[in-house]
Amino acid sequence: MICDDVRKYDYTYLDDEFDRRERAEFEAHITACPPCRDHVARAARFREGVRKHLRCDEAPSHLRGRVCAGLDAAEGGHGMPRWAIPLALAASLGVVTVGWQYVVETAPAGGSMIGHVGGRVAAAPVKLVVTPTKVAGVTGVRNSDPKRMARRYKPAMRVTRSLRSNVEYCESENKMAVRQVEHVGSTEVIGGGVNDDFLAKDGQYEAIRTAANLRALVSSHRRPLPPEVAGTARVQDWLRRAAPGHSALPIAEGAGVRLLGARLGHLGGHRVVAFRYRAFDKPVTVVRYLPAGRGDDDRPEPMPSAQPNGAVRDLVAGYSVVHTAKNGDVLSIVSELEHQALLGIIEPPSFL
Amino acid sequence: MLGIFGQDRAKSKARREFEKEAMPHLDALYGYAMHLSRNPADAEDLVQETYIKALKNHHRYQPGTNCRAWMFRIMTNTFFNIVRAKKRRPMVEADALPDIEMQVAEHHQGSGIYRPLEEQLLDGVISTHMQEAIDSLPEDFRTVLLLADLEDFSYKEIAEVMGCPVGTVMSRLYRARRQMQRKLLDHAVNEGIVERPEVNEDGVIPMDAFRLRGKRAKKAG
Repeated sequence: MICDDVRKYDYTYLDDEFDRRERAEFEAHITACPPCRDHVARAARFREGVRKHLRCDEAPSHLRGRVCAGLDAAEGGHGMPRWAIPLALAASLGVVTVGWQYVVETAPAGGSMIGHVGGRVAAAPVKLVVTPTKVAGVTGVRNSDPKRMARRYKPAMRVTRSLRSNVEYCESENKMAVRQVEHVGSTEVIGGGVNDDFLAKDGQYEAIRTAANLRALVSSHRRPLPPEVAGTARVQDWLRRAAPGHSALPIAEGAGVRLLGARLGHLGGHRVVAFRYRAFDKPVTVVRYLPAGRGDDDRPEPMPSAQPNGAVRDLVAGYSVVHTAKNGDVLSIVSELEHQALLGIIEPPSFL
Repeated sequence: MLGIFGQDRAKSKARREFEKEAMPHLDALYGYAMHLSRNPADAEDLVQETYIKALKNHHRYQPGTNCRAWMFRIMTNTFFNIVRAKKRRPMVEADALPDIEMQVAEHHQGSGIYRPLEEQLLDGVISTHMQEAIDSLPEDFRTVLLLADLEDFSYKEIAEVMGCPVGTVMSRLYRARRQMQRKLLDHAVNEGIVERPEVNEDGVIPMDAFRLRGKRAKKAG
């Protein structure tokens, strides 16, 4: 991938139309190329601005009735002018469902936060599911050959060279480095191959960090279903009945954080309680995963243990996602807020 | 009598099925209609017309396929028919636009030398111009933009709605956005929010400006 491609396909990327490989290549390029990163950041801001501008109200409440009346007339075929149907009929018909944004997520967190994967590039809402821990690492390895890199990042590091682009991915423990190389090579694995330790260490949230689950998280954040209950007191009451043993609020209210509502649902095979918060004027979805196998659910999905051992960050389609454990529950939190802000909401600094 | 009752029951069952599938899209369709027709009365007419057409053609709809895209397709076609009838806003053949325009637009926004406009552009000052920029797009550009950015359709779904190849969707969307970015930049320059970027017609940065920037950067550094 070259700079021209980035300029050409910036919106394809932002519209999430790339497949995984293409996305990885694109992200590798913008990680390594500041001008392109700025370009994509600009395009993303523009796109977000257009979207914000276009957002509009739901249909007026009488429209549903009017449409139904129109359908009656069309079906009956008696040619009654549609406009002649009394408004009263319309008014008596159903109220249009209010598009309400809900947040899915929950989970009180206990332990210290150790962000590991992640790193947002500038302020750009770009999605980088896997990115270097430090972009500086890229410059550090630019002139070294893969074998040297492998030695440097021992034990067991994996260097993969993309077939289609001049990009190498190097992973070691919690670090991943991406660099551009001068020639197009073939995929090769240098060093120890897949490192079991790496997977094990990271394994805590692997069950909920699948691509499908991440996408489901973000889409439930973007297009939330209406809440079953709204308001803090009623949510707490409802939780005691709907999810006994998991009735604490995942995130405490206060200091610009307000709970809007909650609902039960399914997400990537897990039973979840989805909470919708509003924090610093942005919607925040908190998903609390409920243990499987209660009653009807006989096939327990693999679940990460709820031992608090930090938070893991993902960046999906421009949304920050944080996975963590709190008070014995596993949570995923989605928002357009920065990771750092999300972590602050989950675990407010002690001076607040 | 029985026959009549049977027929009625069957009809109302089809109707119930139709409403169950189509009614959830009312809000989205209304939002789309509002942007297409630009006023609430026309938007409501358009929504109603769409539902009536959809009901009449419901036998052609294959259950299990994308009902939302199908409804949007009907609305889009209905709207285009109205536009053509009224000749209110002549259609511009999108793909006939000269390529050079796209290239210039690309240079305008794409060369990465501009100050970060968007914070200022998109915060209030310029939001009035946003609608203008959207309105100035040719209908089929605007439609594609609305489907993508308002309704969040994928390229494939938009192609389905518009009845054109995915490649056409991509190029229309690309050009629509570039054209808007350029319009907004022009507004911003006219209102003195930002300086005119130092790019001449060919998209080449004049040498003086280039050197000046270098000096400025050095000073700042």
